[in-house]
Amino acid sequence: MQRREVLKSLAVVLGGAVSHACSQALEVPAAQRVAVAGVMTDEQRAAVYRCADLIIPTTDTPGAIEAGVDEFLDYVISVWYTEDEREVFFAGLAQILDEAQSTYAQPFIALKEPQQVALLQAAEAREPVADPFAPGRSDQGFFIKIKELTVTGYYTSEVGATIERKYLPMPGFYDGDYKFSEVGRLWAS
Amino acid sequence: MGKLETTQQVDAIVIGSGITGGWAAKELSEKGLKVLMLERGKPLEHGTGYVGEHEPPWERNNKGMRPRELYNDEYEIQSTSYAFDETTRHFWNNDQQNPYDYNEEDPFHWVRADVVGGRSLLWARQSYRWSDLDFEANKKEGIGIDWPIRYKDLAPWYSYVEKFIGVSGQAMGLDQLPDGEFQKPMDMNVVERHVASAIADNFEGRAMTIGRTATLTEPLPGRAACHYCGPCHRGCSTGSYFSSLSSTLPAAKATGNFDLRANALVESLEYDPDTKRVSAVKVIDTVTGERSRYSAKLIFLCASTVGSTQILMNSTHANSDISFANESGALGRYMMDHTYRAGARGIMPGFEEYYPYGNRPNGIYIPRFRNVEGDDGLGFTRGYGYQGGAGRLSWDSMSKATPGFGAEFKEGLRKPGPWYMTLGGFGEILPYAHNTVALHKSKKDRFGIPQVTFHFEFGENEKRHREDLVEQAVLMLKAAGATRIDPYNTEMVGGAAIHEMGTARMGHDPKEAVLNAHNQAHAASNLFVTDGSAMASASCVNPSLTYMALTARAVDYAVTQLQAGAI
Repeated sequence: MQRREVLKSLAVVLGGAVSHACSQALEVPAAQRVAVAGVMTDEQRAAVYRCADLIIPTTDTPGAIEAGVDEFLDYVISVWYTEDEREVFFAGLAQILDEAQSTYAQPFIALKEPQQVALLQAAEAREPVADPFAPGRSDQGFFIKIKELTVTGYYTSEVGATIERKYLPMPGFYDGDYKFSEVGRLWAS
Repeated sequence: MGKLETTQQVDAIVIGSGITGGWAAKELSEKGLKVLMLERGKPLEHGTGYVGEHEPPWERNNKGMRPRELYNDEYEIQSTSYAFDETTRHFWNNDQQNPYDYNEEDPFHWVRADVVGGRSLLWARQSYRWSDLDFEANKKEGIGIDWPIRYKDLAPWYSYVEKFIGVSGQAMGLDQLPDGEFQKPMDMNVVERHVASAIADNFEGRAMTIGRTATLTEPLPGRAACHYCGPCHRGCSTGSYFSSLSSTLPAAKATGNFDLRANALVESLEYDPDTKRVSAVKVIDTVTGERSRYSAKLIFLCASTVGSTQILMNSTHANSDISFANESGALGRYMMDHTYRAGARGIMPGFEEYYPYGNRPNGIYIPRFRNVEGDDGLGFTRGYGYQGGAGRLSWDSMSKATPGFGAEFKEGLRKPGPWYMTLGGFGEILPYAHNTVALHKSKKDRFGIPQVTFHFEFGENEKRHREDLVEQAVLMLKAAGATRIDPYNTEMVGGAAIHEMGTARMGHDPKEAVLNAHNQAHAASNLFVTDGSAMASASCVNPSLTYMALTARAVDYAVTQLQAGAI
């Protein structure tokens, strides 16, 4: 957590785009850094981060980007994804960015929140909802990909595990009749 | 080929440090024999070696994402296990470094560890006794060969092992699943109890209980009761589940009679046809490549079913390619496993005020109910049991099933999803001569040892019991009020249940079996093989407890014979 705090204060000093690249450079091994730097344009990266924050916004708990999901997104999109997955992801993203221009005559990132929400909802409408018993489908488009990545990055982050959820690394006992009202949140372990 | 290292002090050599090797070393050293254990895997220390233990999700390597390229290239087989990920990868075999002849057209999954402790670190800890229903089945049905032992021969050794390893569970009074020396059982949760009573009310002769597991609910010397953190397979520094590292190896070390050599790959055994004894164990240091030989009065071969069989097959008579241990022709044949990855799951409506506390490393068990009192006339013999459990869906599933995004979506995920219940079957596979492990004719490993190759097919009996177990799982879930019932019956792969066994079977007749009633090689009086390779049939229960009981019993016999001058 401490290093993250240092990076965040650096971010304030250096300003948005640079700070992300900077924190990225510190976080990712050298061989991967080239890939991360080359895969997304600044415009794509800003839009991806914005989508993540629309999916899990700051409420009474921190949202996705505050929880560090940006670094996770960079890693998966730039390093972990196969070329095919990346192609699907960026094609879907391009459609949203194009619609921002054609509908509102502005870049996606400059739009007001309700306009961004409308474009993301339109992207969602193009893709079916998953069955909880049948995860991991191959027909995922941009919306399902960014949503799943944001959710995974968020709930496995320190914020997502300890603030949004209740972190219980050492339960000490098992109670199969425990009341949800005693917890109020999802468990994390 | 290296120098002869005669170690005068060594009375016994134990090959392999897994669940049976650990037991052999403990028993032999406690009886006063000087023991040398040879383990092909890397050294690993109890506690400090468990680098993934209690790792918070946000600190995981690769941020929790599986490094797919690495897994495909170097862990093609091992990464198919549920227990394989970045918190455990250091325990597993690297398939590129230590390969076998894997054939996609005729697949067999050889799942193996590569550290001291072996698969005892990674096992699922379910511990069930066999019964005479199992031991008598081959003889009654004329399948395979008769077991040379019965339940009464093993019962005291089950008790002996259970008291030491610590098995928590509930006594049921069933003949087909004998009760053991149990620590207090773990609890079934509210939904599991509901399903259990629905099964008891609607199906005569069926019962559901909490799993019998080698995870402590009460402390034992040097080991604490379970703290319910969840993922045991990352290693447990409190020793709350049984492994060689937490339990048998410390006991062996405490005698002062025990020595362990890691990175020591056994290539073969040298056989003296005049004395009918194993005269030396040939070892390769996996780090330096140096070859050496060790001798001892007793050899306990506990290198796992496939590992031990490979060593025996590679131990040939002089000027021959026939193994000294294979006069019967049974060596490498009759490979069994359990059928796996079939069953049903469903949503359990209601109970929404409950949300279990703690991560219970155990599920439920439904003992075999088919062909128990005789042939049920269902078109298959033997039977199956179910494992599974109930829980609530969490963010990973519910986020996929919940449309939308934003503040409302986030708020909605703060509540757990509905309860689900899973019943997964483990079924008995019969011993078929055509299911084999053999040495590949040309492929060799990095030390020049022939790689193993497999042939494994499932018979009609297995297909039929699987169809029945899926159907019955659906019926039991329906009776319990489940909705959205989802039967599953995924393609069977030999070895996938990681209960491979039977390729050096026990039997009275040296013409039919590799080992006698005490796991002693028919061909060599000082050689005992006590891992899963000794099995003459497979039962449908998890096998490790039986391997341990067989090992303790075999050591008792071996030392008595040694002292009597018979070995």
